[in-house]
Amino acid sequence: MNAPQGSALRMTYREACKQALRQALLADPHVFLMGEDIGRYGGCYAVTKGLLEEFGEERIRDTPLSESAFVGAGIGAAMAGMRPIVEIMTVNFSLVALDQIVNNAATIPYMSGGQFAIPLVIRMATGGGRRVAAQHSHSFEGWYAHIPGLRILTPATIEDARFMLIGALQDPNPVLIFEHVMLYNMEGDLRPEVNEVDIGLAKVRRAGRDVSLVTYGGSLFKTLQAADMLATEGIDAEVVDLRVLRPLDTKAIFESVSRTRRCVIVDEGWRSGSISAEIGMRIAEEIFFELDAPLRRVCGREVPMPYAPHLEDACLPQAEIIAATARELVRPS
Amino acid sequence: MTQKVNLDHAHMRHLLKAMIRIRRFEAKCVELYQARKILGFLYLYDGEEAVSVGVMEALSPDAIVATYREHGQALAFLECQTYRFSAHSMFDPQLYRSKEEVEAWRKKGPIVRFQTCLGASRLIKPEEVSAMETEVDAEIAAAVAFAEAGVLEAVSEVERFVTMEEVPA
Amino acid sequence: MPALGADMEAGTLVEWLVKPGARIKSGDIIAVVETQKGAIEVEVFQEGIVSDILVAEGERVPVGTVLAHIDSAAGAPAPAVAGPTEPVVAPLPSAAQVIQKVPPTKPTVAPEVARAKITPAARRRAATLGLDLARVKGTGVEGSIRCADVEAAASGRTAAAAPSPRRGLDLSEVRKAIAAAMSRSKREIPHYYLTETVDLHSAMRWVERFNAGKSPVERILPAVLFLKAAALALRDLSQLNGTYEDGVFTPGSGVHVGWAIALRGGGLIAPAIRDTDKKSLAELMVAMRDLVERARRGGLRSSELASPTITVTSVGDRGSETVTGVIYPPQLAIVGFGRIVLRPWAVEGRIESRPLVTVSLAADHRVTDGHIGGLYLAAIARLLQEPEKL
Repeated sequence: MNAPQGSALRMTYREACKQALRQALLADPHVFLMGEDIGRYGGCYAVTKGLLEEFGEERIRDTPLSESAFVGAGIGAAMAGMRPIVEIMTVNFSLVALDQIVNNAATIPYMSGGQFAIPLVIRMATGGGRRVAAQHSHSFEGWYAHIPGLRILTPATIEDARFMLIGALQDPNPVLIFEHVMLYNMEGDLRPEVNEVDIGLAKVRRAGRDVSLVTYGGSLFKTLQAADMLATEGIDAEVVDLRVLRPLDTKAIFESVSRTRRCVIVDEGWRSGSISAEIGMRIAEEIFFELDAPLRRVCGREVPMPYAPHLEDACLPQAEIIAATARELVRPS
Repeated sequence: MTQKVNLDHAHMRHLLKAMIRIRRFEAKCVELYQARKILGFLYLYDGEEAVSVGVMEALSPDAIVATYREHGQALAFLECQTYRFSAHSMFDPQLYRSKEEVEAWRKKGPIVRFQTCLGASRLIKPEEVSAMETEVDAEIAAAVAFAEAGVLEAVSEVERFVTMEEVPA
Repeated sequence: MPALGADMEAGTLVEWLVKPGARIKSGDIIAVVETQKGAIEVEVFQEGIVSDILVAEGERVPVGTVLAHIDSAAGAPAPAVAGPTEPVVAPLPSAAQVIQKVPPTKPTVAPEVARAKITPAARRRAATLGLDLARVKGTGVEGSIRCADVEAAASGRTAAAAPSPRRGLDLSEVRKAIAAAMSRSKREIPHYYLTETVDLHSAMRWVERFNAGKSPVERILPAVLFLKAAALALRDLSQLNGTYEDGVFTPGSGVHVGWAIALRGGGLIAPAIRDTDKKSLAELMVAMRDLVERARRGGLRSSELASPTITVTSVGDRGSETVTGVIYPPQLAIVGFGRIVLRPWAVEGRIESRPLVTVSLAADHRVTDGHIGGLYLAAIARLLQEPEKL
């Protein structure tokens, strides 16, 4: 469903996700959806609303409350030649299906010596900020990026939400797509001339000279806000949207940091063993001699997510903290 | 286990009040949730109060329960058939059932049935039920006032209880 | 407009089920609201009479907007569906409090070495400019010297009158010494030259296998193999290892190869790696890196410049195919390794593409002749065919 010629199409991130699913379902009869409450209820975040009516029960399948079972079924379906798109309501519930994802989806191609591919797409909502506390606010996309065999996508813009799914369906390997819960209501414009995106490269969302702010997903917009704040002080920050956490586009990261010589990584996950740790280490390994300041990061506070809203806000990366961290590197006090 | 137990007046009122308390407390939670005093998710239970009240009674040391305990040693699996009046969560347009169905079940609700049954056995009078409701409302109001008057936890405390120093007594 | 879900930010008032003047009680449904999940009924929690309707059917408003007023039994109008009041929130802690700085682990520092904090980029810039970092004031994080400080010092240097305190060798002095030595060499030493082309097929494969799976810090360069081969080949040909001064040949106390390093400002120096033939390839790699780093920042010791028994120069991937050097007096020879190139090569009667390097020897004809020189190059070529033995 492309935009009419010459006009920008304005939609929410949620709507972009839905249009991507519709496009996929219309284009290929092997594509079908599975997940809890995606059919009759229309999806926990209303992404799949109306799809059951349009495509029917065979292709929009409400599953029982058992992630291990329906992710396993998705793996089996993919092995048998279908193109399932499994929705796990949130990354928090994916823990119940971790064995399927890690020990089956990620591993069967390798263990079978290439006899089986698992062209499975799993979509998950992720992240905090909705006041749903410790067990429902995780950001595990960085954890999943640890696992060989998986591709990890983190669309942060309307355009990426609209088109990364289509790219994911062309990948013969399992692809996990993480949609941050705070992005669903975000509105933006699709450029009419764009009808596909790559699923391998990072993108510079804001060019700058003084410091590279490297981030992804739900933190992108806070990072852009921080860059705006810094601009008013005469500090020109570059914002790099990773888009893909595995495999990391290290070339883009190194190119940016080699130019600005300073880097702050913004990652909603807990810092220990996080994707920010991996990126920092790669920078230190490969372009150490380009650095003109220590590496820094802004991460989620290392506690189970609190329920009280002021505590939750204090535990998530915020624009002020990102700006302050970058400022300290450029103008140390 | 179909042993009939004789239940006295005080115990009956205790059970009814417990169910009323749950029902009214939940209604207050709904109101506070819509006013954004409670955030996140709110999952409702109205229509199912008999289950929790009944199970709690069975768990506490109690003359009635003693006889059950003497008879049973193994773990039991309880299947309780219930009907919840409100939607599963606040954000649920209830496309899976009709209003008429819900109304029919409301008439068969545990509080209505229990109250009717007690009334018929003359174990309770209408003015006693009103008094119970007033007392319960007062308890709830006091709880809300306590919450409203509360001080927000300081951000500096956010790491307390991430790990424990010792096993609590 | 009530909050009906964690995700809900706004809703559209689709239908009013009451009019102004209607009497309502707690639990009544008074309106229908359209949300992204579908139509949801709005329940009211007060008793009273609807007095004003503030939001029209079809209007979309944010959660918390007052939809209607209700005159409660007590007489005071109360807004239906109380707007959310913000709880008293502690202000966000200041950035300084929350930034989780990991304090740098302080390594135990040997007493005689006081380490200045200098960013890698600043070090490089200072070396390029030939600037002594001891004179630079740092304004970076934790007082570190950063690029801007080096630039500032460089631009201010011409105005400064105070002489720089010596830290290692003064580069300009070193260049003067090189110029003198080269002139003397060409004046006094009768050079003869030989070259040999060596097939590096085995050597390159071995290096690839050695480096696979190793971190950048552990990997070795082909130049290390050249250095080791040149050193080992000298064990049996000591006439090329030592010095010749005032008519007297003195064999070297060991094989201490001077490793030629190009200086950024131009010029070449060749500090010695002691006992080159006894060090492992990994040790040689570390030694080479250390020398290069110290040479470029002026941190070499004069003993290192005075003690080589032979010099090896390897041009790396940007140099020419053959390099014939000028002997550093009082040494007897200089070995040159050109750029590794892919060329057609005869292998067992077939033509194959092979990585080749041209090794050259420039030697003092007063001490050796072409026969010895030829044996030396042949020995190097042989050693490079068995890289695992280096």
